[in-house]
Amino acid sequence: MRMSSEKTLARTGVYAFLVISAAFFLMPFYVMVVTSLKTMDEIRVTSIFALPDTPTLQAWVTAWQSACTGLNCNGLSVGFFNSVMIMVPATVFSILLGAVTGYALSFWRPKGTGLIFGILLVAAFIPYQVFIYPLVRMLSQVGLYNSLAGIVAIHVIFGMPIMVLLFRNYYAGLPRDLFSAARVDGGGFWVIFIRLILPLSPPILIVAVILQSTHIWNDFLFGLVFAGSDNQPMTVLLNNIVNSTQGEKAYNVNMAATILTAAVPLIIYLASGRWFVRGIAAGAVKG
Amino acid sequence: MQSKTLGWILLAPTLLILFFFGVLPFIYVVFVSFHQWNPFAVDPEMVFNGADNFRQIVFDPAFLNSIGVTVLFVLFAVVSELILGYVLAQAFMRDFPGKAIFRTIHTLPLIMAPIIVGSVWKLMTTPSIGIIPKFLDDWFGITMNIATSAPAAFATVVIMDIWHWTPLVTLTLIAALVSLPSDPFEQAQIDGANKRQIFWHITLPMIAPAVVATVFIRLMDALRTVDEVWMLTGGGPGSATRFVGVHIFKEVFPKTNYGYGSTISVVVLYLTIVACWLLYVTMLAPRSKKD
Repeated sequence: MRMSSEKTLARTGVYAFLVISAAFFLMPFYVMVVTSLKTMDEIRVTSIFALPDTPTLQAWVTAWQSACTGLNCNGLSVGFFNSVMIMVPATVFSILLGAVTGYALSFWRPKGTGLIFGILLVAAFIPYQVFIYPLVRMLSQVGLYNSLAGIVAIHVIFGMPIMVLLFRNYYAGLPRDLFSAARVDGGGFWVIFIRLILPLSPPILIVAVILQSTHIWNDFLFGLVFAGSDNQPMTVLLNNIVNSTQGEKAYNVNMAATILTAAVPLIIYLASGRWFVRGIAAGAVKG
Repeated sequence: MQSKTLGWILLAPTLLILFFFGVLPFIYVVFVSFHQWNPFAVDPEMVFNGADNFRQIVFDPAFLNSIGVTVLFVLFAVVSELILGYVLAQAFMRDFPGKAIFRTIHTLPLIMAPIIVGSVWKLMTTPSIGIIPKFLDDWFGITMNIATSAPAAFATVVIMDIWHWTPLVTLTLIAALVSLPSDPFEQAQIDGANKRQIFWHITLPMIAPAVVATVFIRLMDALRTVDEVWMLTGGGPGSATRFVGVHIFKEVFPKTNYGYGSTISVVVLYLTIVACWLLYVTMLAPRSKKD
């Protein structure tokens, strides 16, 4: 009897703690949604916590098509398409590069593997601000600065270390006999890669897609520096809308814009479920 | 033989990228850091000035301040995240109804872009509208304005970071706790160890590598944090939240003093490596020696 009442007490404690921390984690989401559904008049008079009297999607429409960033009043929609144009090729290329390199490193172990690894690891963690200026100069030299190709290249370059490490670790975990057997059977590198490795890769491919696509979508600094005014991703436009100094602050539009920018990663997260957690775990053990 | 050539061909793109976008820019930054150079000034020539930049940085109050603020930020944020993350991880080690929903909620902040986090917290701390100043005013009569009060801005950035990154710590600690063997715990219970003893002498040493890895990741992140601070405070008020990452960005770009900007980069890089080495030596090396 004593055991079970202790258990109930412990469980109540755990629940209480989880409910409080859940409230902490959910509060910003609640504020975002509630504020975006109000009119500015209502925001001024009622508490930010209060539910909207008459919910309206007007702020969402404004944020999407007519919110102003400086002189442009086209809303976030432009940025949404720019972000897609950046995210898709950058994700595809960085995964291709990571998979082939990771496979090459585990299939055929060159002498300098340790050194390559060390450099990759350092590269994965370096404060990238350090490289911004030299990279700006290099890209402008080859005419890629302020272009779509330039920002895609930057994402592929900075995503490469973690992608290579991710695929290398996955392929290194496959049984060695598999490789040797295929080699004895006379399979060439590409034959083995396409017939044997790719069919074994979906788990790591899913993790890589989730990791890279959310990461690229969420990027702000690279987009700000390298994309140029024609290719500004959604995050940069969001920053411009929220920090716009012209006119009265439209908090409802700001929050609607924030939700719209967060929507793509949110959908990826909710659709992928446990895969996302795996991706985070894989990303976290990179160190 | 053939496969060896092919191997190099396959590795070539990665190695070329590493060389051209990793090694080369690094050498370039180090090279520029020994020069006086402002390409947009009246005199745009690059002039070698030896260690002058490095001599200047040691006494540069703005730079030293950014380092100090960053260290304080890491200390407050990471320690809180570790404690909160550990308690949450332990809670999630049990089975209870509704666990899946709680886990979803407790992972949610992770996927939010830093710029989005900054935007929401900006609204929540806006005077007269935000819920945090309103709550403090209604309940404690405290006026809070992160645009003018340095401690308030700093505290908000720390809490925002805890909100954003505790889920990561929870996930890594859950992964570490799940992989622990159960024998030492059973043995300790038989030997009559209490919960505190078990935590300090068994659990903590066994999850130490995961803790160090987490601290390492968070330290690296803290050093390059720009987005959410940029959005929330812009580094202000004054220089209260001007962390190293923000400092480099603000210093190198608008001022176009590239020689000195490069020097800051080199020093930050050096400090980063030293911090990682210290972390490794103090936390992991002594234990592996004992084994």
